[in-house]
Amino acid sequence: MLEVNNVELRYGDFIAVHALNFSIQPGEIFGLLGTNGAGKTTTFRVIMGLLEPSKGSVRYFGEKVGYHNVDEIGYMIEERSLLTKLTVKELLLYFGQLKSMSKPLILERMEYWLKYFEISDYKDKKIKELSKGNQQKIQFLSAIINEPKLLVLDEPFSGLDPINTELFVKVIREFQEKGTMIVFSSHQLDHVESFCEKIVVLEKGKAIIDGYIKKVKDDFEKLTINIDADVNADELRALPGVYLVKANTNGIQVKVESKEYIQGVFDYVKTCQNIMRFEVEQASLSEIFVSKVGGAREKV
Amino acid sequence: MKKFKFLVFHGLKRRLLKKSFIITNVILGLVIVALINIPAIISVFDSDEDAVKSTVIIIYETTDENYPLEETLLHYFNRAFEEDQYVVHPSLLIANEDFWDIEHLEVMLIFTGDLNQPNIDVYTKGQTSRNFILSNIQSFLNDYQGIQYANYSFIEPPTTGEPGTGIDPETRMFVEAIITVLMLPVFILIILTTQFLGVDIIEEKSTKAIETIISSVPAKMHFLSKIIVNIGFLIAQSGVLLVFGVIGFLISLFLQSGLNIDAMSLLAEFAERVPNWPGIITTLVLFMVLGTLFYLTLAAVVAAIATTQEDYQQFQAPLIFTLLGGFYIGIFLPIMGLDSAIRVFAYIPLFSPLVAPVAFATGVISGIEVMVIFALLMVFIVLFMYLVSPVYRVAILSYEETKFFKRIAFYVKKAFSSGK
Repeated sequence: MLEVNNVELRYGDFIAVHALNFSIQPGEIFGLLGTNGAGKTTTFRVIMGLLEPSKGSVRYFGEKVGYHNVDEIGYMIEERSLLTKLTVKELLLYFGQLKSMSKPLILERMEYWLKYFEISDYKDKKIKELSKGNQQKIQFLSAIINEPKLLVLDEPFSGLDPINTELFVKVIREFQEKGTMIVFSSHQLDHVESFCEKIVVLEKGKAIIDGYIKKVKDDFEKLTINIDADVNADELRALPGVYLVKANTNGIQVKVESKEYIQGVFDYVKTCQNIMRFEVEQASLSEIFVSKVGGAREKV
Repeated sequence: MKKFKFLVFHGLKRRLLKKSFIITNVILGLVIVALINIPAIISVFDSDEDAVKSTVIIIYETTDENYPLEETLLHYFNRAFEEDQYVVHPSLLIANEDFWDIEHLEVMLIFTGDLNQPNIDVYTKGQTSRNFILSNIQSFLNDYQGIQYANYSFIEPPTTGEPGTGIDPETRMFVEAIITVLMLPVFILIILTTQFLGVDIIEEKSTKAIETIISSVPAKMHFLSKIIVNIGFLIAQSGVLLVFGVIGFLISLFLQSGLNIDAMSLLAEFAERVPNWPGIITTLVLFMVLGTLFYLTLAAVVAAIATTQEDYQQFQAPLIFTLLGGFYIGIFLPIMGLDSAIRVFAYIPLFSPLVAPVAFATGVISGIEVMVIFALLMVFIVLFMYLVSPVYRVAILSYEETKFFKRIAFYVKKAFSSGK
């Protein structure tokens, strides 16, 4: 398992990461979220052992992450980090051998994955000749070619079309089934919501949301009520606990501070004509993210 | 260690099996072979009238003055050549001591006594010339006397060396010329290697591939592998140049041109006039390797601090100027006779790789001083590497865009305050 224990990273007086705690079990997918500059990449660098924490520790199966166990880890950085003058084959051989893999094994896995991603024809093409999406595939491939026990993915879906995104998701799921620990960051919160069990949301290096997604959503009291009826928006706004009323194509969306205000809204809607829908739903991860990050910024 | 070996072999393979390297060396090989054979090629098109002949003065002070000694000896000297190479010098009225200053006057022989038992004063410029003349005189005497009896006096050029240097001005000029010829490829190769190293590192850094690499191998290993690869490249490139030189020389021998004699004379003369040439060559090679190590270390750190190719081009200027400075100091200060300045620069580690071999070759510093400078340079490089490797480790993964010196200060602070 991977344990991040009270990790803090300082540069002089500046604290890049504040007392970060989380753990990942084999077969778990963990989401590290945050706005740009929140400290996600720095945290990944600490996990990878590229930066030494000022306080706390990162333990990989009880050991410090270092060059003795780095061959079991796959790392894909946010920006494309490929040697563009090399061919796909040369690059994968280079990165694979840096993970102490033998040439025949790299070639065998390379053939498999290139076929899987439907880019076998590009094997002898230079990286710079590939499209951005295909470069992203090669970068992802270089992170998984060693079949890692821990896969660190910084924005793996950035720049991908929906079809390729699904392809990546499928591969990540396959690794999860094999017992790989996966930690990744993404701005696409729907993906995080769809396959992460646990998350940490960072803002200015601090964890402002932390834990299992279900619990995070349960703990977030604000709710959304979707109404399709002849209601008056101003009257809705005047109800206690209502903080937002928004009209959309499917009717009216009402946001309330907590579940105790639902009854008041329901009582009002009952007085209206043509009631077609009254539906209460939990806030999405995206709403929680915006709400918490916005709140955290206001505090700063 | 396995990864280090892989990085070194991968780097060398990428450098030495590159099309550009192969094509450049093929062209370079042709140019070197052509340059060595230029006199032979020119001589094919040149008329005989333009050929420079060696002149000879033969003075015969004996009772048997009617014997055509001069004519006979010239016949012996020229019999190995299709065209006459040795002719009589137009003037016989020169002082013996002026022999050394007269251009193209290669041989002066003063015969006294009887030709059956002559005393011969032999003036020649260079050992090869002396051997050639001597063997022909012996052949002549053998034919004339039936035996080879003669009393030879070999006249040496005057030695008016400067006190302390132990090298006469003429030899010093000769050594300066040779050392300039030797230093130029050394200088070019060091510049070339630092360029390659910098571009190599900055390519990995600017494409962000460095992050993937450093997540697999320690920054220090990456740093050392780059330096070893480039020293390997330097040695390989020097070896290739040497091989081209030998090929060119062998071709010139094969062509049996006039050049082969000149070239051999040059080498023989170098060996004769500079008896400590093995020391000079050893010093040159050792300082070349150590200097390359130092300049590569410096280039690696500069490349790690830079974030883009443009950045590196800008930041490497001080390094190039330092190298250029060392080269010009080594070339011009000896010519200007500023021996004290050469000695001082030879002790400054920044310049000693390029200045110390010249200072030693020209007799400005002694062998003991060379050893002291070498030890100083080694200590300096070890300390320098010890200090800069943490900076490299921090800088290689950072993308600061501040001004150069501010950036250096930031990385130094970061390198020695925390971090892996």
